[in-house]
Amino acid sequence: MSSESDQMQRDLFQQFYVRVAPVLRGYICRVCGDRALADDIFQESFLKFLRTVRWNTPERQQKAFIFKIAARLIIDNIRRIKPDPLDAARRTEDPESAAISRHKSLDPDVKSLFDALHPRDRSLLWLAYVEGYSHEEIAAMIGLNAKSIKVLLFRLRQSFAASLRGKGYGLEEQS
Amino acid sequence: MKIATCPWEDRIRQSLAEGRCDPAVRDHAARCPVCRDVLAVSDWMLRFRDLTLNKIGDDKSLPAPGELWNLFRTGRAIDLVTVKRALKPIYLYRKIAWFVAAAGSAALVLLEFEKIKSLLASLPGLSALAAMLRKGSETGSVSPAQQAVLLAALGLAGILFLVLVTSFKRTDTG
Repeated sequence: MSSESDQMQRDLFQQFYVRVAPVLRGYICRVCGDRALADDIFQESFLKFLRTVRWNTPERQQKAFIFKIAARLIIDNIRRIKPDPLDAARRTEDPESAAISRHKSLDPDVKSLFDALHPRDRSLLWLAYVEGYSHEEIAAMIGLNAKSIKVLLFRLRQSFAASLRGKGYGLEEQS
Repeated sequence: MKIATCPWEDRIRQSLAEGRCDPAVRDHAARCPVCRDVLAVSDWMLRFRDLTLNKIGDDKSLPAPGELWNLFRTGRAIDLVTVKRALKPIYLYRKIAWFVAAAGSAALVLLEFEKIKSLLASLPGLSALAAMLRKGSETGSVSPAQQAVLLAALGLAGILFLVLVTSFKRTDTG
């Protein structure tokens, strides 16, 4: 009976992992900077998640829970976070990386604007605009109140949208 | 500072993150400056995510879920709280054993006091020492403080002797 339930939990975890792990790693890598730290946080997040998860809760809740764990671990390790994440290749003029940037039409200036942000702000932008969490959900993850999140996100959106407009990145281009 | 908001904001962010954006959202965003910005930032961030996932996916594959599961199970197997709980009866029995040994020794000393006293008196050094102390106190050449120091030194020597004996015993068994 116990081994059956164990196997069931293992299967549930595998399904959840396949769906969530890539996006979670993307989030941690972008916010954290160095890969070793990101890998540590990624693994620790899943281990903490497994210790406390309730498999009968909806998946959105489970996903929010693991993002909350990761966000808290990032905050705990904030001193170890480096200012410019992931794109070391861009700094060293790696042609492959530059080609990806051009292909995906991501302006390097806007990318550097993102990378120059405080890790907490990078985290906020990612959780709001990539994962689509509400202010209240983000507040619970980061440990601030919803009003503060609203103000912070408003400022971030303003500066980001201004940069995007400056680069001619408008509504017409998106459709 | 006045914060410009729109009730559609959360809905737009969520629907874009879920990979759908119906025409009503686009129509609204065309009219609403707040949602236009939300749409632009969301769109850019989602492309940024795709780029990130491609990049880290190319560089290094994810650890297998089974690997993490096994790590979790191993971690659970050596969970300190569980270990502490498991060792609790052993600590309890050890305390009980110490208490029984102390009570037994005290009972033995009380029951066989006369025998112990005669055994100690038969020891040549001890009887000579006792006689010396008695004589000293009668003549007044040894003060009560000196007697107490001497007795304490003897007690300490006895404890050191016991410690040495028990440590030898541990070395033998170890």
